[in-house]
Amino acid sequence: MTCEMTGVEEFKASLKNFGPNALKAAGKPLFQITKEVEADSRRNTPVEWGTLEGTHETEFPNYEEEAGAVICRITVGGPTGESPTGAMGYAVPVHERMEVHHERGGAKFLWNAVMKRLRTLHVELAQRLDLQAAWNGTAGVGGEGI
Amino acid sequence: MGAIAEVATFLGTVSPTLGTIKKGTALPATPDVVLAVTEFPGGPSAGAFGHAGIKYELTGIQLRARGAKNDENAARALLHRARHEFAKVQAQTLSGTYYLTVTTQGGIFPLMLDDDERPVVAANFLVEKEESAT
Repeated sequence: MTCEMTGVEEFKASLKNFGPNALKAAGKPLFQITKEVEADSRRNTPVEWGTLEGTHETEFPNYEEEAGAVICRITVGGPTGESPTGAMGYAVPVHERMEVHHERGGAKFLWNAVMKRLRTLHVELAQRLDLQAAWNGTAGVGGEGI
Repeated sequence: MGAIAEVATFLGTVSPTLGTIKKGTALPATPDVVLAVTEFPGGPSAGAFGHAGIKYELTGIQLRARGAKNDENAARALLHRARHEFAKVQAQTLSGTYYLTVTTQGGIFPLMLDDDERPVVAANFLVEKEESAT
């Protein structure tokens, strides 16, 4: 009796690429979770005119393959480095001054939203990860497939 | 004693030249240059085997320093010293509460100008510790 095994090279290739491909596949669920964190932060942002609430932005996933990392960044208050009179100069004291009373929302709105998800983040990410796409190498990068 | 008092006592002991350390967010009218310790919700607490209820908690600590009008550097210098002393805390007991780690959260940032246009700068920390007595 003989047994022929085929597809060994393809299997090896898929295995070799699984790590980097899994990183790409993680971008989509991480982006989704980050958007949910952003929504939670928006809900708890102090609102007077809505300016600060409206500055929430979630960037598309940024892949750092050498470091084996994928990063989704939420920004609030405009680009970092904006002048003290700009939105950043407004966002920081609103976020950091715990003693200020707001009719709606409160300080640390973004921090609290992130910390609420931190403990379960890895589980949620694993549950939403498309392993098939990671194995096949068909996961999109950046905004693709999101 | 709560976390604010524990940290303030620690900083006052380890570096008396930091001056009087205020507890909470209300800063006194004088002197201009002053350091304060305040708190914010950190993160979820954790239990431990063989221990019922909360064993460890993540507490947010914010240090604030104020300088004289148009002198943010003095505030930054004071906070810089306090920040370095506090960041050294590791596996030690502060006023009866065991502190495991202190992690800095970003750098020193301008927080606000007070009513007399004196600059206030701040720095955040995440502290892993056992529960304080109160």
